[in-house]
Amino acid sequence: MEGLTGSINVLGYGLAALGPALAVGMIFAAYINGVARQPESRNLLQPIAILGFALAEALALFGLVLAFIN
Amino acid sequence: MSASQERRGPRAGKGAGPGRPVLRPAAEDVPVRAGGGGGDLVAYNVLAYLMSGLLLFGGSGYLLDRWLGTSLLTLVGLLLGMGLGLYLVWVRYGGRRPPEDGGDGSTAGGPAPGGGSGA
Amino acid sequence: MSPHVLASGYSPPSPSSFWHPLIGEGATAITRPMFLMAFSVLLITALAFVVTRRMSLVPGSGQFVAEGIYTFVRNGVARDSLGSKEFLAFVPLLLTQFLLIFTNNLFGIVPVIQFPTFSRYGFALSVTLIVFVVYHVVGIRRKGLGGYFRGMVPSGLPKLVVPVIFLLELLTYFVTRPLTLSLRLFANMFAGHILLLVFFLGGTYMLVEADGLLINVASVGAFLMGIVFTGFELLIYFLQAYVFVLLSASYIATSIADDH
Repeated sequence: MEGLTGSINVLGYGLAALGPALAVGMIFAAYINGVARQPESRNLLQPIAILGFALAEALALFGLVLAFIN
Repeated sequence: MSASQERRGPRAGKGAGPGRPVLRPAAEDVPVRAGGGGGDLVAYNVLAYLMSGLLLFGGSGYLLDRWLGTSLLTLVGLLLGMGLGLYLVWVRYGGRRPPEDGGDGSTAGGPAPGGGSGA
Repeated sequence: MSPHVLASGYSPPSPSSFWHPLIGEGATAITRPMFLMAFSVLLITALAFVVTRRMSLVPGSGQFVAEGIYTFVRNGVARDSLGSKEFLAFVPLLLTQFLLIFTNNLFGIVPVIQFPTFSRYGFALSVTLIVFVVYHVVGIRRKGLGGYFRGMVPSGLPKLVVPVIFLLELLTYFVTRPLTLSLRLFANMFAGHILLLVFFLGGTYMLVEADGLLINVASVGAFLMGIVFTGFELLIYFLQAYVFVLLSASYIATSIADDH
């Protein structure tokens, strides 16, 4: 196809973003489940959910930054 | 000021039945919480911390690379920045919160910030 | 980024489709989004004036809608984020921002206009800069210059790490937060508008200029997708306005809170 240009870096980032997206979804699904079963546990579960989110998102951000470095 | 005018005005709103307005009392004094309203905003703040860490230390690593001619400092800067960002997220949002309004008797202590065993 | 022109004559939408100068040209042109922003301000002012001219205790329909919007921003956003003691001072700012952003976003799907103003980055940046100035000034006024910067570092950290964390927090407060706030709004509007352009302009090309009966019939799919995404864009417009105002309130709350 003519006119298809771009960089492989961004393709690589697109592939790499798959894992963290699934991970964040699973973390927050567990958090919502936990709070739905026992609403009082919200304050105990929230720091854990945030930490898990930060760790999973770190990889996605690495991919984003490295996609722009040549 | 508009604030006091607003308090004294009629507050007929959605709950008003036919003809009789319902005056809602002002809410009790709730102090400002540093975490902002709602837990879902924490995610944006966490993202901001992570990105800042990457940008600051990755950027300085990159600049140092260009100045010194090496090629490894960018990666070191990125890793260090991410580590520090994660540490800051742990300090601010990790640790355990005390349960609000009497919880269920669990022995949760106050928040445990700082001195964390690393990111 | 120049638009790719394929051999078949179709040029896909690109950032140059967002440049609509009306008077003059180049960097000092007066463009269509400028007129749209001015028009939206006049529209909001006129509507507010008409609705509040004769307020009664039992509201009519116009007053009911206006009260609903006002209560939504005042209670749902301002009071929940800022606490009930000092939220009233910030309600005008938040309400204005919400109305402005939502109206200008809606211009993206109103039939004749069809251009969301915040798909030009300058507009998103200027709305963010107002909040940026507000949350710094409020924080400095509340805690003093030294106290404000000292409050950026959470307490109880080992002494070695404090300068590094302080640098990090400084960058977050001054660069990353306004950047992400404005970029979020801009990117959503930009991407949404390009999506609609692809569907509708592509569908028109498929129907009118391409030769082959199959392509002409298949353009119905493009138009159908365009209609579906118009509805989706309505949700996105409201959501982006709401998230913008919610985050502004959250940043102001962080500035005036005195925990740690």
